[in-house]
Amino acid sequence: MDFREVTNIEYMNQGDFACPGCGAGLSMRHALKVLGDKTLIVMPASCWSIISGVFPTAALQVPLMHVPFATAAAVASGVKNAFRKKGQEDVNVVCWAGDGGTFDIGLQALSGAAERKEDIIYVCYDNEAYMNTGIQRSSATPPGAWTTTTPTGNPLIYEKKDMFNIVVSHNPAYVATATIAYPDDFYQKFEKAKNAKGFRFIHLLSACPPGWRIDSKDSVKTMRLAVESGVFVLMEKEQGKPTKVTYKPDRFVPIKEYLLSQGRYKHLDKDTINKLQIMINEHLASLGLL
Amino acid sequence: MESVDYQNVISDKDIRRFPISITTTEVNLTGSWRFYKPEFKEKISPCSVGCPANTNIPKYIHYLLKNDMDRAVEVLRRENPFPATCGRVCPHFCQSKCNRKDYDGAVEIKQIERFVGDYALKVPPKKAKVLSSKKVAVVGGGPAGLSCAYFLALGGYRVDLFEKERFLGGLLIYGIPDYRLPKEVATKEIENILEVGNINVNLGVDVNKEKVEELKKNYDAVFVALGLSEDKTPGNVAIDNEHVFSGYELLKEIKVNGRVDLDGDNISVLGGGNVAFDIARSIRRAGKDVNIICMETLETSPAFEDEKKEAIEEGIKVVDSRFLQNLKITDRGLHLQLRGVDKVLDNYEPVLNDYVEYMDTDILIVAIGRKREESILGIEGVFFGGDFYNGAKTVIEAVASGKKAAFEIMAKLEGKEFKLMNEDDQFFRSTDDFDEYKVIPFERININYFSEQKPIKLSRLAANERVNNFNEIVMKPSLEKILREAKRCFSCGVCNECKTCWFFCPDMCIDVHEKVDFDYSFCKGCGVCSEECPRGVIDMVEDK
Repeated sequence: MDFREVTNIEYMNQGDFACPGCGAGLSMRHALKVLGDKTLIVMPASCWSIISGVFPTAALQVPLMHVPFATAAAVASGVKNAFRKKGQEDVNVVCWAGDGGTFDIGLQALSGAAERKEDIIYVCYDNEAYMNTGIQRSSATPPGAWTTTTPTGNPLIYEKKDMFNIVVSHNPAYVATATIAYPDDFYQKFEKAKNAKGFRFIHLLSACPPGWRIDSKDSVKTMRLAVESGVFVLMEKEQGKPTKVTYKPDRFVPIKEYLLSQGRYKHLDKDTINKLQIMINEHLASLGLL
Repeated sequence: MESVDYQNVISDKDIRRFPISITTTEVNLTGSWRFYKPEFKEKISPCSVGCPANTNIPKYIHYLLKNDMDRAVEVLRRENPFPATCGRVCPHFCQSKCNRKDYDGAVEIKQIERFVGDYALKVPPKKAKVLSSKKVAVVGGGPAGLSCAYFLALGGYRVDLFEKERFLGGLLIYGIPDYRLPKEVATKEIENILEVGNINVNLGVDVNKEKVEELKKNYDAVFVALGLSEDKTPGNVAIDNEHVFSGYELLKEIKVNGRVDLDGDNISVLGGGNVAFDIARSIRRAGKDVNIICMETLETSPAFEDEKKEAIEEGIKVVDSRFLQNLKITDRGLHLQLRGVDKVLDNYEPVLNDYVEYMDTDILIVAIGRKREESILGIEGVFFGGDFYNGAKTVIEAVASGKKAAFEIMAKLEGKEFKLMNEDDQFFRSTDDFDEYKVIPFERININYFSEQKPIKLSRLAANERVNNFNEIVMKPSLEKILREAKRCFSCGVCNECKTCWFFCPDMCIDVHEKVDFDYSFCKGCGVCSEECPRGVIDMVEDK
C-alpha cells in the first residue's frame, strides 16, 4: 500500500487517552478515514470509553454515544432506524466495542441485531482481555495467556471463542477479520463493510502493550506476527459466498516466535507451546491453509 | 445537571440537556507522558559506502521516483560530475554492497545512474561565482583532474587546467571504446563541467617535472593527475609498430579515427586487463581473428566480468595461464613460444611450469599495463590523484580521488583541517547530507514492507550484431523498467517520504514533508514509528 495516497484528513483529535502504542486508537483513526464524517459511533464500556476523553472533551470529530455495556448493538439498531425515519439513510452507524463488550457482555444484543439483519457495522477491537479495568480474562483471551485473573495462564481448554463463525452463522451481509498491521487488507475490508447493506461485522486484532506485556514500539510488529504465525487469520465472508482467506503468509512463522515476544506468554514451557502449535495447526488445516 | 426523563425527549432542545462533550482532547498535552522521543536521523546506505565517490544513491533515486529530475541530477552531481559516463563504464561497487543483494538481487543502480546521467547531459550546472583570489593548477585533464577542477570551481576557486592532448577527457576520450562509452557522452559531460566557469583550459601542454616545480611557485596549490603515461613491455618484446603494437596507442587511434588498419588477419593481444579486452574487442569489430594471451586464468584476470563474457561471446579466444617466453619474427609473421603458468604472484611475476606451446600470429598487441612518470611523484607540497597516484583503477575511483584532493586543497588554502567523514570507510561527501554516520545493515530494514522482486533483465545487442559496429551493447531500459527498478531500492537510512511512520502513528504526531517532523506536545513516545520505519531513519532517544 502506498501510504502517500491515504487521505490526510483526520477524524480523531490529538491528546486522546490511549496508552502509548495502542492498537485500538490506531485502528479507530484509520477506520474513520475510510468511513468518513457521516459516521456515528456507538460505544459500550471499553478501553475506548476512556480513550475518547473525559467530559467535556472528545477525541472524535464524529458523534459518539456512550451506552451501557450490554447494549451496543441494540442502541445502534435503534439509532440507525431513527436515521432511516429521518431520511438520513447514508449515515454509517458503527458499534465500536472491545472484546468484553462483544464476546461476553454484548453477545446477546449482537446476536439479536445480526439476526434482525440490522443495517449497522459492528466493529470489535479485540485486545484479548478486559484491559482498562486491569487485564482480566475474557472469553477472547487465548489459551495460555497470562491475565490478572489467570495468573498461571489461561487454561488450554478455554479455547478462544470463534466469534467469526458465531456471527457468520447469522448469515449477515459481511463478516471479516482484520488488523491494522495489514493496511491494504484493513482498508479494503472497511471499504467493503461501508459499501455493503445489512449487518456487517469486523473483528480487529488490536495489540495492547500493557496487557500483552510488550514494548509499546512493538505493537504493530506483534499484530503482524500474530498473522504471520497463523494465530490470527485474515479472512472475510460476504453473504452468499464462501469464506475467503484474504492473506496467507508464504510460510507460517512458528507460533513460538509470536508467543515468546510477549510477556503474557513468557511462563509457557516447551510442552505447552507445542500443544498450542498443534491447536493452531488444526485450525489452519480446517481452513485449508496447511 | 438537571435530570432528564428519557420519555420526555422530543426535541433537539431536550437533547442538549444530556451531557455532551463538545471540546477537543487537545487540551491534554500527552507529550508529558513520554520517556523516549523519536528523532529523525538520516544515515548512510551501504551502497554509498561501496561507491568510491560516496554518492547518495538512495536520495537521487528518491527524487527520480518523485519525478523531480533536476534535484536527482543535483544530488548525483554533488559527488560525481560524470554520471552518464559512470552509468556506463563503472563496475558499480555500490551494487556489491546493496542490502538487497542477498534478498532478491542487488538493485541495478548502474542503469538508474545511466538514466539520470543521460538526463543530466541536457542540464548544464549552475555557474559558480569566484569567491577566492587564490588560484590552483590542475595537471591532467582526465577524470581525476576534471573532477578536481570541477569541485574547486564550485568552491569558488579559479583553476588553470593543463592537458597534453588536443582534447580533455584522458581515457574517456582516448581509451574506452565507443561500445562502452560513446564519445559524445563523455564530450558532453566535460562540456558541462566547464560550464561551471572558473576553469581555464590549456590544451597541448606537456607537463614534466620542471614544469610542475614552476607551477608550484606560481600557484597556491597544484594537483597532478597525469595518469599512466608509459607502456610496460615484456623484456623480450619491443614495440616496433610493424609487428608489435601498443594497445593503448591503437585504442587512441580507433577513438580518434573511428578505425585502425592492421596488416594481418590473425591478431594476438597480450594482457588480461580491461585494456587488453577493449583492444581485442575493438579489433574484432574490424573482422579479424583475435586471441588474448594472459598470465592469469580467465576467472582471475583483472578485467571486468562483463568484458570477459562479452569478449568470448564475440568470438575472441582467450589463451589463459600462458606466459610469452619468446617471440620470433619470421617472414610469415610472428612465432610465439608460450609457457604454462601455475600462478601469478602479487608483484605480477608468474610461476612457470614445464608446459610449452607454440603459436603463430600476424600481429602482437601489448596491453599489460602502464607505468607513471616516477620523478614527479617526489615533489613535495603537490597533491596527487587518479591513476597516476593509485595505479590503474576505475573512472569512479579517479573521480573520487580528484574530489577528495579538491576539498583537501580548499581546506588547506582556508587554513582548515581536512577531515574524512569516516576514516575506516574512507568516506567523504561534498555535503553533510546525513545526520549520523551509521551504515544501515540488512537487519535494520523492515523487510515486511518489501516483497521479493527480481532485478530487471537487461537487453543486450546480440554478439553477431555488435561485431560489425561500435554501438553500445547494453540497450537503454525503458522508462517503465527504470522506475520499477528504482522502486526496488530499500533507500537504506535515507527518508523517501514513504509515510509509513505517519500511517502507524497512533497519536497523529507525524508530518512528512521532505523530512519527518514530530509534534512533541502530543507524542507519547511509543516508538512505533521507529520500529516500523522500513529504512532505519527514525531513532528513539531518551527524553530528559
